[in-house]
Amino acid sequence: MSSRALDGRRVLRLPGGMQIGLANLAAALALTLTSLGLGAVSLSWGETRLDLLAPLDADQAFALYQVRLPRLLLGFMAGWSVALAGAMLQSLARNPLADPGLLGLSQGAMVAIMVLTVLAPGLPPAWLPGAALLGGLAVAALLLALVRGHAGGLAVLLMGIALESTLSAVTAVLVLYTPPETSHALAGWMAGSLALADWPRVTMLAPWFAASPIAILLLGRALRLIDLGTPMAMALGLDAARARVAVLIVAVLLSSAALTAVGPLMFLGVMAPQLAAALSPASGRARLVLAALTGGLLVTAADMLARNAGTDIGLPVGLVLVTLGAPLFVLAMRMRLFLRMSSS
Amino acid sequence: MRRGFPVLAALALALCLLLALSAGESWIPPSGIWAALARFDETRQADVIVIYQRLPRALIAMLAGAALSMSGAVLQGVLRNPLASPSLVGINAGAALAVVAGAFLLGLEPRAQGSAALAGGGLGFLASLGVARLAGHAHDPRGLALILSGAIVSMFLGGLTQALLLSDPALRQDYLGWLGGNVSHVHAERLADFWGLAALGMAAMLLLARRLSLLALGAEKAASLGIDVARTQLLALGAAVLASASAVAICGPLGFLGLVVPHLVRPLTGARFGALLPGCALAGACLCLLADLIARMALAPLALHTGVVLELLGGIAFMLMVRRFYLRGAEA
Amino acid sequence: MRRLLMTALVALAAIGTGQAAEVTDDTGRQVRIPDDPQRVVALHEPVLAVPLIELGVPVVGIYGRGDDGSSLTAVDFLHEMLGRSKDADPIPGIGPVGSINLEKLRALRPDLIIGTDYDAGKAKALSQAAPVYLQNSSAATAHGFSVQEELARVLHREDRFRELRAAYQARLDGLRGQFPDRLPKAPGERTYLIVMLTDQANVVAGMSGAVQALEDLGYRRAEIAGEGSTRQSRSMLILPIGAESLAGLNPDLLLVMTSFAAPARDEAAARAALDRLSPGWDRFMAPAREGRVVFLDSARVTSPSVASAMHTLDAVEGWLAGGPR
Repeated sequence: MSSRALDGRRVLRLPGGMQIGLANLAAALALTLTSLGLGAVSLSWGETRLDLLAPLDADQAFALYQVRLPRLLLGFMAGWSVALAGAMLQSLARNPLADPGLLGLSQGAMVAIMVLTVLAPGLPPAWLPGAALLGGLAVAALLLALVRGHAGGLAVLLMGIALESTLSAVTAVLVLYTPPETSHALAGWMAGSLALADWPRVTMLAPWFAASPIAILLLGRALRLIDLGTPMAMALGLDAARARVAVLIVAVLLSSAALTAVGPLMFLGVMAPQLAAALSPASGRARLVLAALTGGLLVTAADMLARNAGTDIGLPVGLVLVTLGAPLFVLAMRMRLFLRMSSS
Repeated sequence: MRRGFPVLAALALALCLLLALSAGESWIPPSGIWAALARFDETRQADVIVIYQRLPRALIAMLAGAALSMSGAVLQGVLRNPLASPSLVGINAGAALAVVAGAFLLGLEPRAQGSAALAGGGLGFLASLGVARLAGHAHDPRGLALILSGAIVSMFLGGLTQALLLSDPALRQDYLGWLGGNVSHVHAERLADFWGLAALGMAAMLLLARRLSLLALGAEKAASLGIDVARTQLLALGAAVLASASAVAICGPLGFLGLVVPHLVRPLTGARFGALLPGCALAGACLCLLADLIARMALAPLALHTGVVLELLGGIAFMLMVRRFYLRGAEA
Repeated sequence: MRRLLMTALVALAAIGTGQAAEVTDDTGRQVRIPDDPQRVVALHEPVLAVPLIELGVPVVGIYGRGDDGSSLTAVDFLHEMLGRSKDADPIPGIGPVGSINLEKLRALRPDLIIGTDYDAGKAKALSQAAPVYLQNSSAATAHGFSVQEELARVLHREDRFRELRAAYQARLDGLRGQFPDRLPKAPGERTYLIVMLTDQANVVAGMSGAVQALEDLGYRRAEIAGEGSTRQSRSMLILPIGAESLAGLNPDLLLVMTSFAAPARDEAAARAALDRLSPGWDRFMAPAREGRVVFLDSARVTSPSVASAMHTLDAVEGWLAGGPR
């Protein structure tokens, strides 16, 4: 659906003959993001009320720069990464329901983190991202090995579900061995939480986030290959299997990095691309970018809601996402159905 | 083999039951079990253990195993999907969420939680169906869209359940164990409350067996033979939800059984539901007893939940089944 | 001349106090903590806040409490263990349960934050508000009320700890004098086990004041059959065991309590929980038959402080005074 207009700009053709400049769309979304950010600042979070025009005192500066800003950035980057991973996996599996969590990648990373936490509780947290990545990659490798020769989408998905349930049972056993203090903290983290957002985590996730546009650029071709389907690709003499592996690896890296920073954001990988596709159908790289943007925005919005809910129990952002996301997801899928039917 | 299967299965079940009653922290020989059953003496510790701990536990395991396996067979038949099972189409997750929501939000007593479980199981199932339809896989001969949607819906409902648990630390203790699939004598009261519903569901499925077999021939053929296709399907699915949701209400969600047992039993009894369903019930009861035994003894003295053991085994079994069913031949 | 020298020395000393000292905390971090902190925030109520308050350290914020000083969790440990009423002197919290609100934390103007080694992941983020000192509290490293002893050393409250300990010792000696025949004569002579009841039975180990009290009374922890096989279980604070294993336990002294999230924590509730988990326990469990069961209140005895040890001694005294059965 994405094509070039006469003047070389990339545009999206929507049903009804409308065109939206991709640049315009991106700008609109960016503006929304900024307004969200500003909105967050000028809302009265907690007791401090920040007025953007007045000069900030030490407390407010602390609140803004040390607490809210890293949280905002971390949430956006994590949402972006997870949604992007989800969109890639959906291309890979040619199915709108693929998700890093569904395929057991998140579980793999979680198991790795839990094993480390149980065996070596005093270990410096710097080890955890590496462990999560290794866990996710191990599961991905296992997945590929299990579906070797049939790296078709559905097989990957089904095998992923099987892996996911096995690994979650393993997690349940590991939880038995964690001391009760950590198990409550883990329970909150396992739902995806921005409570520990700080600059070190932001800097940990930032390189992955910054590298993702490059990945999108490079993988565009790979994704097109996968879209063609194996027989076609083979007919053209192109190696679709390799492309699949590449996409899988990138998806794993992105989702594991986000997982280490924020915990697993279940469901987002499915929700965000669907929502993006419903709002503005696109294909190829544009689809990935829009999905990622939507993911980032969703997490930011969910975090705002979670923080201001005012409950005694801190609501992990992952839970708010899941709770609110479901109706949105259903809406999005209905819209897509409608759009597809109306455009055919 | 087909003829003899029910007898063999019943024998196997009796053996498993004996094993479940004998094995544990202390080994109680059959004579001890007989003494407990026939001449119960409440001052003898072995008798108390058998009657108050192991027997309720075994009964729960057998009932849940039978109900879930039969439901799985019916789901696979009606939905024409070899991977359908109560846990994979959202019934288990829905029932669990309903029970937890009932307990946490409405303060429901255990008695009323059964109805909540039924409603939740049904809603979970409908949600999976709905999402599958939305995913637009009308031309999906293998019915995989349902499995995927079921998994997504289960994930979502599971997340909500966890959220509810976090909201009340006191109640959380009680239900955390239950959620893991805790086939413990502690739930004997739940067994007393809900066994009737589960039995009702299973009886209904047995009554529909002949019609289900005809349905498997194809909708048109069945209709030409005088079967009301839609009604049969609806009743059968309802009975499956009833049976599995009741099982969940007793001991929490247990996976694996509904998926694998029908596949294990079908080669031995044939696809006719009249033989398949009782076979599944017997085999399911056996397997659940064995899984419970493993859960009790594997990491002794540490106590594992039966549901965890089943999920571990189930995941591996699922992987093998995917390989068998979906990875034969080229698949795009 | 001498007077000048003295004044100079005093002046120098005065400048010396009010400074901070560089210490290494239990996780190896270098922390600069003030010599006499006036505004301490504790990240864990039973494990840290209770020992600290008992030592007289000024605690101004505790994780797990609300803004008005009421407890957000099922139990108000300060009330249970130290008898503090929240209305008299409310200590506010630092955010909802499950997350720490850095802004609230900072608004309390702490000069020291004390956490456990499990908070290592948060230490960096929290040090933006105040220096963070992490105290070992895992079952593998802490024992009895060693946590309180360590904190006393780090915060220069050793005198206060000595007072508390002396009172505790006096109580111990009193008990020994009153019931010389029913308590062990040599340390480690008899065994004990503490069991916490949830929907299954859990054997509790490690670092609570109860453990300290029992060991000082002369008991040592009993081995559980099969426990040695799992290396991890040695360092586990809570070991869930099967109902049949529960029935087979036979230490010289069995202490039973319900979890602190249970609606009732008294003896009747514990008995009811035992009835559910192991029907017939009062007939078949050897400790029950022979009157060797003590019921504890989990909300009172599980902190590594002298207060918890004293509460344990209360329970034991009640059992001893009940007379041999």
